[in-house]
Amino acid sequence: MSCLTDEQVTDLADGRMEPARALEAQNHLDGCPACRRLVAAVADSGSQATQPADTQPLEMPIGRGTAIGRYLITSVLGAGGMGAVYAGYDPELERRVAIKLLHDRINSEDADCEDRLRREARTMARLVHPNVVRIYDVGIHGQRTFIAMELVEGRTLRRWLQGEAPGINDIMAAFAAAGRGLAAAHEAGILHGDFKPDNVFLSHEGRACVGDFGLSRPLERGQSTDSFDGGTPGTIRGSPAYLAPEVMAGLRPSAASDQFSFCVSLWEALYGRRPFEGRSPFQLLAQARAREVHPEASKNVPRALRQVLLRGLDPDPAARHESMAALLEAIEQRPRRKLLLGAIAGAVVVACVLVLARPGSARCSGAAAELAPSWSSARRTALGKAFHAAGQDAAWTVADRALSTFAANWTAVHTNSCRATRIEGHQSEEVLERRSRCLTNQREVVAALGDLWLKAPKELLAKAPAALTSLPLPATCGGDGPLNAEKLAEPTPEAAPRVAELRRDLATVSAQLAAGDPASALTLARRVSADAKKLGYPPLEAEALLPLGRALHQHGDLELAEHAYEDAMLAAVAARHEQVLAESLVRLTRFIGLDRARLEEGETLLARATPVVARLGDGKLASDLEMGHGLLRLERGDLEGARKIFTDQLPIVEALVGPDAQQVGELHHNLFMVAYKLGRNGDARTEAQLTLSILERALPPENPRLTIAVMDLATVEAGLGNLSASHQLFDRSLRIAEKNQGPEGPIVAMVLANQSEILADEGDLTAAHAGNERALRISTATRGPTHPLTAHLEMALGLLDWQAGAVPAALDHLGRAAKLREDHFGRKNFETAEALSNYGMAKLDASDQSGLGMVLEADEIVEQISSNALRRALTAGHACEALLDAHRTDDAAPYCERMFRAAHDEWPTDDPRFIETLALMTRFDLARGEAAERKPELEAAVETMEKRKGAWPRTLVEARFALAQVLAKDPDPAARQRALPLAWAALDQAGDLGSRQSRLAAMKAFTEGKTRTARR
Amino acid sequence: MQNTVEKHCFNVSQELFARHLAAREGAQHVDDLYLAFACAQHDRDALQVFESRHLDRVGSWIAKLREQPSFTDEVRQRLRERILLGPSPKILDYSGRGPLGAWARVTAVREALDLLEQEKARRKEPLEETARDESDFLGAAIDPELMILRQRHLPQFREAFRCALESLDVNERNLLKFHLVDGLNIASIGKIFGKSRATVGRMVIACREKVFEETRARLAELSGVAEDDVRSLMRVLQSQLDVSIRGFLKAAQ
Repeated sequence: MSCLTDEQVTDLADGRMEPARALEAQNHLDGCPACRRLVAAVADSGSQATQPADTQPLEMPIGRGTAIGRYLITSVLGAGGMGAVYAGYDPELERRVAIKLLHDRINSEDADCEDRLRREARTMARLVHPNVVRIYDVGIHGQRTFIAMELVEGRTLRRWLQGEAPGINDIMAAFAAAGRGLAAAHEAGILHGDFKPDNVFLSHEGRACVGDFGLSRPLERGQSTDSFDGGTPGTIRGSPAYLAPEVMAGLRPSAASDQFSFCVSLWEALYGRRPFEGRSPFQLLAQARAREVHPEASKNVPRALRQVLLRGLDPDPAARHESMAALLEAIEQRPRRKLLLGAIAGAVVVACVLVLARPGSARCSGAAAELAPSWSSARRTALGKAFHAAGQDAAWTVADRALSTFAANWTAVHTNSCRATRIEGHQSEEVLERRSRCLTNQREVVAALGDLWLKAPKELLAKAPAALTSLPLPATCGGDGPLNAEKLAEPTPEAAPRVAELRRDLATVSAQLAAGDPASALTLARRVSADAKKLGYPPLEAEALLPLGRALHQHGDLELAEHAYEDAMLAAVAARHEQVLAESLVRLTRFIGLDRARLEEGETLLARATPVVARLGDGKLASDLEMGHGLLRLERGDLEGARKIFTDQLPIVEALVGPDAQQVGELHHNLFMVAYKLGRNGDARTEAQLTLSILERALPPENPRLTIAVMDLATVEAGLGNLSASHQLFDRSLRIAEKNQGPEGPIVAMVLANQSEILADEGDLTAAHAGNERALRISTATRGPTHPLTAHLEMALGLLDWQAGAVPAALDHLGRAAKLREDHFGRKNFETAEALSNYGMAKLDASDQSGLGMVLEADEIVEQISSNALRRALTAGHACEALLDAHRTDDAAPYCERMFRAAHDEWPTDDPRFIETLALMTRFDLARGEAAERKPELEAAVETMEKRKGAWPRTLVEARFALAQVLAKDPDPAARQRALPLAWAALDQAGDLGSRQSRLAAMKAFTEGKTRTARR
Repeated sequence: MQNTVEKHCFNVSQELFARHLAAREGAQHVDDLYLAFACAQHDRDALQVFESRHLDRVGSWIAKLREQPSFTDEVRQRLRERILLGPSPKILDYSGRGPLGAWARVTAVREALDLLEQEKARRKEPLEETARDESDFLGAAIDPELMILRQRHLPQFREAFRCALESLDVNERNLLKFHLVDGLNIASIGKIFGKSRATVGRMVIACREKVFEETRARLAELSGVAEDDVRSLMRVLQSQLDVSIRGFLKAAQ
């Protein structure tokens, strides 16, 4: 070997040389001190040679165990011009990956650059095709970009061609596969930009995949002749020998230029040399124009194939084949007919494959036949009869509509997918296979559901409408989900029939769960799960555990359900079952965070689920997870955050399931809850009405789900003061709940709790107390003593006891409620603050002065974290009142003023809640001796409250009493005369209502004092 | 390699560049190739970019050879004359396979080494160099008895030592040369061999051990060296191994 070239010197000094060539170089150095000294001096000149000093990062060497992103490096695979490639491991998905670390540094302060990278990553990640090296992830390591991609174990096409001198059939098969990958990329709008045999990998199993889309840019159709980037040749990339002439001349690359590169590569593979061997683009161009390819022909290469390739090599991009797909079709058809004549053994095999593939290809009309066991006119009639016999015609109307929609969508997706592969040819067999498996699975669930209904008892048919939200969505089979999931390991041929059988059983479990028969589902799920374990086929084990968890969940065995969900997740990880992994994470997030009310764990699970679901790209699952996210936010008290999520989801869900589906109603229900909690009663009413009207359309009358929808509207109507409407709605709600669940169901408790609140506001403390007590009993038994609803009921009951003057009982309930909320939400939370404030007020009533500190702390918490006027008015009002009770008027001033301002900003002057604060504010003014100017406001308030005919009686009492006190100081004797009867009316009513002891005492003192004065 | 974020457009013929590019199969750093091409066309902007991007860093590249501003300036000037000027500037040799920065670096280091060599030749001190090298071999023993021993067995010892070094494989030998003759630090050696610092450290120790054991074995084989003498010589060698290896390897060049 002669002395090292400059490049060899730097490659060696910087450690970039391939091992084999490095050894050669070392041999030379051993005998050539001059070269060695040069290498040493260059190595010693430091890595600053490659970077300006100011941006040079401190970099750790990358070795085994180095973490790049979330991946761990296990070994070095090689180094190339663009960067080093490592084998790595993804601990999250437990799979091996290849990590390419690019040499090019990115400027970390250049946000655009990062942005562009992520955009490109998303584009690339969308491209999922068996003949394209899959890109999983792109990220930044230090100041360098890394790409995590599929690890293809094998070698490059070039090495294979050189090492094995494969026959023409093998060459054609490999190139056809690579070409399909390229075609799929073009279809997805991605150009390769540097196609050559070094960028195609051949796995040990013989799969060819195109990689190194490193130079690719989004494909812009019809711009192939435009000058590109202002014609800056400095931006040309790629290997000149394979580049299309137009790209070399500085024009924008296009799909046609990839086609050119592909043809050069295939030509080289077939003939052993490239078609044009000129040294300059002018020579190349001239040769290409004159079709001056090297003249030697090969006996093995059919003339037709040569013609096909020559067209792909045309110097005019427009004269080449229309697309890669067209080129492939030409390659696969013409030469193969020739090959048959050539009587090469392999050609016969190819022909057989063609014969097998063709007959099915022309049709793609088999969807209806395939769907028949699930849905046909005969089956539809049979089901209709069964429902009619059970007296469930209403349920059938709804079910029939949903099943017909399912069948139509299923057929459409099935036909499209078949056409894409068999007729249009832009979808690979494997993708078709994946979509078909997804569709088959959905069809089996629906078939099982129908079977169930045909044999089912009446009760189950009544539950049919609820099953419809669990109907699979065929669109998800046509989407990205089935493609993105890692291909599952195949069962052994002996196990395969049993696996198929158990999968059908699992479809039945899903149907039973959807139908609302958790007991049967549980029995079957347990059996399938045990059988799957015995079979020892890990993907099926994971698939079986998930429905088992759902069955246990629905059945109410929450502890066991939790274990089953967790097991499903772990089994999915072990089996690399991405679909089950994503689904179990989504279910666990909602189950733990909401059903089990363990908020923080739920949030942790959410964080784990998000990337897994995003990678899978299943729109339905992603939406389910986002809904869970919104509910967690709601639970956490981040109302604005929740509102944003739900609002964003609305169009997505509508698109997924149609605007009249139950799921859309549920979303409006969530938006209702947010608006209600935000104190926006107008918005809340709109959302509640939307919820109810959509659900009434989606479900038969008296469906249990309507209970809550009706109740919500009742609650919001009461909030707006429409009491009779509210009571009618509450009655309807309770009727539905009891009809469906019996008198002890958890939903019954919820309705009772809400109704009690309204009854209490109306002043019917006895009825309110009875309802609330019953609700608390049911909730403790069904939801557990620490559930937020139970805590809420404790507080409500405490408030009722307190108002009724039963202070010890009140302290008991309110103290427990405050503790439960603090345990659940933490101290700095307004749910906790609200409970704390109430507890403090009750303590003060029991002459326990520690209550004052709690009231003030609660207000401080709310002041810090909440912008909700309702909450602020409540806690500040309590603080104002407590300090006024303690005769600390000056201390009370800021609280009273804050309360009043909040109330003023939030509510109109005729809102009872505003009037309540007005009365309190008057007390404050009286204490300071300047209440006269409140008179007109109070007059109006009393009039308003009297017109409400009994609603908010306590507010009327306070308003009357405040007005009486103001009137008593009026200089006008006629006004003073009105004071006493008003005060008496207030006192009488307060006594009837049962009121706080201190208030009663104050009213009594004033009224009796005035009466004595009047008598004198 | 420069930040790819920064792109330039120079006032040169695109057609000529395309021709230039096409003649360089395997070029991967097209931006760099474009800059080099424009420099060769004496495009002022390109020369300025090359100056600020690469020539400004010559000082840091050759700091280990001689850190002296006047020396750096001289190297830089010679570099300009050599690679940028004239009708067929050397920068046209840049192939675009590796980064231009790396190419400039190796060219600069080459230039610096040449200059140092010329200086040495002018000073006409080669004899002194070799003499010192010789005396380094087997160290300068203080013990008079060992002095005599060393004198007596020097030819055998040299032979044994040569064989010992021969027994190393190419990589091991180069490792020791880089380490002991060129004074390259462990990190830079690690980079050349694609090994971590710890591994290189262990390799150096292992090589020393091997040289030592090999020398002892060969020395024992050679006739005329008494067993006691071998032991004594080895004791000397053990304390002076690095110096000895360096001396021998240098002398062997």
